[in-house]
Amino acid sequence: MAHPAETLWVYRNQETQNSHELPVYRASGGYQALERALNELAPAAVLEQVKASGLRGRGGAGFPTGLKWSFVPRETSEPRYLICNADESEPGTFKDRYLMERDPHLVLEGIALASYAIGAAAAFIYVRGELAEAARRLEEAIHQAEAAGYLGERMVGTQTSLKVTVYRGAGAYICGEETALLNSLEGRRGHPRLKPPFPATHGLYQCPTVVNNVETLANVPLIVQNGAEWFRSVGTAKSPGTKVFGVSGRVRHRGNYELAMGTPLSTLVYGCAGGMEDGYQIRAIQPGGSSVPFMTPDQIDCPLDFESVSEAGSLLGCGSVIVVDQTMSIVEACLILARFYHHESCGFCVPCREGTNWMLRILERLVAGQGTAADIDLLYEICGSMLNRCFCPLGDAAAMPVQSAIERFRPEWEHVVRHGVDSVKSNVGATLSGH
Amino acid sequence: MATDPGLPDVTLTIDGRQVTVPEGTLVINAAETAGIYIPRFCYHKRLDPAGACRMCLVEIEGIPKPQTSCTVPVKPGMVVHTDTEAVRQMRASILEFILMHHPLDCPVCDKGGECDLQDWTFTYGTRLQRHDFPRMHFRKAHRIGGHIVLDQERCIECYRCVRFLEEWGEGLRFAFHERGDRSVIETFGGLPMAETRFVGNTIDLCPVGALTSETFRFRGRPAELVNAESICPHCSVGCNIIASARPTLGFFCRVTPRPNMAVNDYWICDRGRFNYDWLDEDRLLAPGWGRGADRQDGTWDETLDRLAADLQPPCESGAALLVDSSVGCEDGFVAAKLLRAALSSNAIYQSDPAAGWPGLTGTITDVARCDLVLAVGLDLWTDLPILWLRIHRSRHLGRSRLVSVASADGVALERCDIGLRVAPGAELGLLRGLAELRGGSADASRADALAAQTGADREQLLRLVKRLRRASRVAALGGALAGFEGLAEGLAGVAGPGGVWGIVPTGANTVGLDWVGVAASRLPGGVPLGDAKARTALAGAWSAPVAAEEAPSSLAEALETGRARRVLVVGGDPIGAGNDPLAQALDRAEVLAYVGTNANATAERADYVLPMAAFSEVTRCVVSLERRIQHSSPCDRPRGESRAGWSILAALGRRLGVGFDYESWEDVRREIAACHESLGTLAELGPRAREGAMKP
Repeated sequence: MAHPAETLWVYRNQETQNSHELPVYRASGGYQALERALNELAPAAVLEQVKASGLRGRGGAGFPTGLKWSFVPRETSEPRYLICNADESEPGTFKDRYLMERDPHLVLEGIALASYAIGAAAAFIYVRGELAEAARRLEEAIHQAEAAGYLGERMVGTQTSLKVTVYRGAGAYICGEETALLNSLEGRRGHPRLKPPFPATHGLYQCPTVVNNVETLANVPLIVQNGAEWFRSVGTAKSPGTKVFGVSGRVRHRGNYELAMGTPLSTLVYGCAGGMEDGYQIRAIQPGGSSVPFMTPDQIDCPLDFESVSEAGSLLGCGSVIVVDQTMSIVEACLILARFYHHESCGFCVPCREGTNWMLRILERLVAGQGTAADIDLLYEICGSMLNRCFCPLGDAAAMPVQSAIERFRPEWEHVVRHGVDSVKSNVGATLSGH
Repeated sequence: MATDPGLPDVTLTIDGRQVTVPEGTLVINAAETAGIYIPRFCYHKRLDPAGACRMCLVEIEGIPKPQTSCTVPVKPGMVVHTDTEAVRQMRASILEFILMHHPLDCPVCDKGGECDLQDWTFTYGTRLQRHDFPRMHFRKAHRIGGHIVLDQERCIECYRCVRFLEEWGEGLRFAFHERGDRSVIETFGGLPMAETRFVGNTIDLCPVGALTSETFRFRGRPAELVNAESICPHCSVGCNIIASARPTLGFFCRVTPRPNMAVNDYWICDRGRFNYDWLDEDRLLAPGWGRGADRQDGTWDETLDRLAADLQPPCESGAALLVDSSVGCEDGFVAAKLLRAALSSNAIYQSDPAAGWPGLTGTITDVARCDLVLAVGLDLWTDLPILWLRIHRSRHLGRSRLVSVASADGVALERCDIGLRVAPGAELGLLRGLAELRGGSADASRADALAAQTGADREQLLRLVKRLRRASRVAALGGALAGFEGLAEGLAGVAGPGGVWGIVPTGANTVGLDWVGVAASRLPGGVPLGDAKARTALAGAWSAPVAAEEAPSSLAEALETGRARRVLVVGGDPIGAGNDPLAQALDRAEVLAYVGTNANATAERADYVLPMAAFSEVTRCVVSLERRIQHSSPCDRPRGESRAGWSILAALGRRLGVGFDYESWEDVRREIAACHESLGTLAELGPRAREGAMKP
């Protein structure tokens, strides 16, 4: 059951029986936007509508979607490509997976509209390798949609055609970075590319390409169907619309919640997710996936939109809220993150390749009780030597949480050095009150 | 990245200095123009920027984050800082990162002394290493084929090697495997590379000691080497090289490329780089006479006296000369003069069957600028690798297409855009047909007829004709494989007035030797032998008669008809070269004198052995296929008692009563210049002429 605080737009079919089947999707008004756009609207009109809606990328960076589309050259003899970035691999993130598994036609309709807007006749969905079920559902849905004339040749009886292909990645986090994704899709090593040139002009096979996140594309049919004004009626002026927030950690109801942008973090954690499980308290929160700086419990009322979270010293990212509780030291939390980034660094540039290695070793030593106070300073300095100096944002993603953890929880780090990691952890029972 | 000279200029400020550079210049290069060398590992002028090492980070006003100067093009009014406290900290931190797992085995690393990592660490690094965890270990001293030894631990992952392989035509022969800090360079399947062509260049590109040369390994530190600006002797491209030796220890060390954008760019081929063992092994060290078991060493005087007595004119059986086409101009000139003036014979020949043709009508760069290159009976990839590479680079940049025509399958038809196989002997017919189809109307039936006539694949031929008709500049290059009858006219016809064409020589100095008179029917300067006035002038200059009698057209003919029984061979190994008719003919010579560098089949058969200094031991000049005259300096002392070829031949000439008064190579060049006005260029050429000069 949806929580009353939710605004169900892209997640409206999540709890519908057999929502992945074409007839069910159609019954909910599905593919009407596509039919209308292809028959009545010029591609430029679709683009303008999305631009006017103020939709921003839901993959993490929050770049205005319509603007991104408008960078694709209109007059070109080269093929243009649309790529749906479904390489959802950020720890704590599981929103796109549900969209693909439970509402694949919504994603496909978004892909079809975006392709129409930029003039692409071929689209690829780059699905994270581990999401086998999502890939299967998408392939089935493509098959159904092609049979029903929504995709493929002469879509809904018009001259427009679109071939959508599902491509399964091999499970590298870096391939979620759009240019590494392009390399991977071309069969190359999944290393990020130099920008500029940007994918909009030199993307897949050096042709104009738009790479959009799954959730971003799922918003497009709603905007085309209901209009930009409708979309802007929810959310904030600079971050309009809704966002799917996935909550993980020791909250009562872990899961995805679609909320209007700007909804306070407390509504998500205490309202939708039902607050902390018995005996657990919030130690720190990452509001946008594993890559963003930690927030402290006193920031719980921060509105969840791109601007407000930035002002609070963190990032909205992909909206995946990771709640760290008091049974885990912030140093241990950093170690878990460091393990991930060390494993996933592609190794292309020096600071990320070597920095993630060094961070991991120091954090292991600190958690093992063999660290020194100098290690904290060194770790902090390493973060500084990685931030803004790496080739792609992966290095920043590895450094930011640890840097923020040291800045905001310095006494805890020092305590860990002196008395060990267990000294800062509370047992579940010990903090219970009223029982 | 190269910038177009036609672009407008941009003025910016770097560390307070105003710099004006063409639009599109990268900040790292603009800084160099201003005299500021920004440290780097991954950036290389001839490779596309990567931005991987982050060593060249600088601060640019108005941009909040530090920027890699190797990826950012200049903008008007840009203000760049390369020497702030922040930039110094960035460099120190990058070096600290790189050195975390670097083995620091400099004492046993071949790169020591010319290692970028060493140099930058001394300049910008910190003294102490704070990383106190165990270093990661990978494979060391791993022979990956192609004479390359890989040390995975030393690799700093700058991608220069793999970028070179991808961008310059070799293709990936090895690549990065694994991810993150586990990334290593490895060959595919861990198997050694076979048949490499340009991979050796990755050794020079490697900024550390990860890729080292198997043949140079542990043979010397850079400071111990004597280096000379030399010219590669292995083919007619004339690649500029640095030849290095350790004369005090008596061995040759290595060949590395010397950048010359007009010839070899920054590269050389693997044959030129690694094929030098012959400079140290099986050398002829002392003069001597007698065949087989009768061979005995003697002094120079004794040997030359005996030989002079054997050659002394007048004699009933004539003399002939065979000069290997890699021999320098000085040696060839003195040898030819010896024949004409002292032995009154014009039976003077070169080993290269393409000798006598003037080389290309344009430069290598002109060829690379053509939008279509047609190679007939030539295997550029195998025989002229750097010419192939220059053409391939244009292909890589989308500016050119390479078409190969041959009458046999094999590599000649690979490594090109269209490989056209024709019936043996049909090459010339094809060229004539193509010339007509290029200029005339597009008539499919004529192309069909041409395909039927030449045995070429119809579809391929149609593709070629289409390309040819679209091409604005065509290069047509012919090789010895195709036979010579009418070939020059055929090539000229296809290339047309704006194109480049030529019969491509294979010897490093085929063109130069012919020019200084190593030809039966031409005197120095290319003057026909029949020109009596020229002969008289030459006789005056040499104070000796000049033979007037026409010689047979080939050495084999001269030997078989008995017109020549005494043969002087300078350089090469004609008996061991696999040309059996010539070898058998030479075997019949009454006197065979061999002026050469190595103990080979010809030296074995010779009646006289006169050890000659190798290219790396003498000053010489050679003329390449594009008619570029280039000066080559020595890095080494002649082995044993060997001497410069011209000096041996001059000593012999003096014994035969003709003036050969040379003290040095400069004297020889002066005399060459005095023979014909066109040869002045050659005499003026000195070591300072880095670009060489073009033969008139």
